[in-house]
Amino acid sequence: MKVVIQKIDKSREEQVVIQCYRITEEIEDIKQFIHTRGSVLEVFDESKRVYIVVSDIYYIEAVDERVFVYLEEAVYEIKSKLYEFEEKYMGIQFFRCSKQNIINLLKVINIKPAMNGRFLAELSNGEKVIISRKYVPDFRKKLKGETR
Amino acid sequence: MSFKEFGYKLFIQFLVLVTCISIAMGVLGLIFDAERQFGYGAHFAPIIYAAMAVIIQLITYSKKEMSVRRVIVSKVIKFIAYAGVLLIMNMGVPGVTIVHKIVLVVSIPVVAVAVTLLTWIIDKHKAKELKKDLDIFKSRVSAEL
Repeated sequence: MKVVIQKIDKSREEQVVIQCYRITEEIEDIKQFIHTRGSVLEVFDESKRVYIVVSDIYYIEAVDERVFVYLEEAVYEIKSKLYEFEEKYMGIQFFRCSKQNIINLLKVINIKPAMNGRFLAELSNGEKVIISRKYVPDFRKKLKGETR
Repeated sequence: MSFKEFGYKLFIQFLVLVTCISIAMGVLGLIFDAERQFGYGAHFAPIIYAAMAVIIQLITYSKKEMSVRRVIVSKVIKFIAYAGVLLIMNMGVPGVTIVHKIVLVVSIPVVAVAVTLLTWIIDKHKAKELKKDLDIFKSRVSAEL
């Protein structure tokens, strides 16, 4: 596949155009990758609007109808629901690990048992996120590349 | 876990417990005290024991995923509650001495700790495998990126 990169003026919006004969799984992967890697996410620091790179997210947590994204040190709120984020960005690196959390697998440095068949994902910023027992089989499949 | 899911899980546990307690009472009774006669009231014993076990679980219900520390605290609370309920239920039973009661109270945490330790060892092994898979996953994704 031929790759063409054009530099554009800052006044124009960045975009990726894929020209293909048909939409295959590889094309879907590329689309998902662009969504995850390249995209920025609108988040809120109290009432201030901020833009962050999606791949910088360590994990996302839903707390009482509100959804927060955790970066290395900062925490922001997003206005979308957890399942909406899941649908949009659940490509290569994000995984729904419990009812409340989605983790960035590339930020996980260790996995430990957490009692009752659950596991604890240790992130590179020192935070720990529970992988619920219900999600462990999917977690294994995801790591083995059996699911997207 | 939502309360609806939790309630359903408890209901299934209740049915399983009633069955298991009935079988245990029947088999142990035939082995150790085959001559004893019971009234119709005895049929309620497995239901009461199973209900007690299920009700105790309600004490430590949490809608959110509990931290390891909270799981340990909830387990300790459950041990105390189970021991208390069993002691109260055996209060008026003839032939149950203080030694029996001590054995009963001690055996609950001993069994619970043994089961927890065993599952911890199994989970530790699983965690090691998952970590290995994670490292492979990360190197694969890094290569793709």
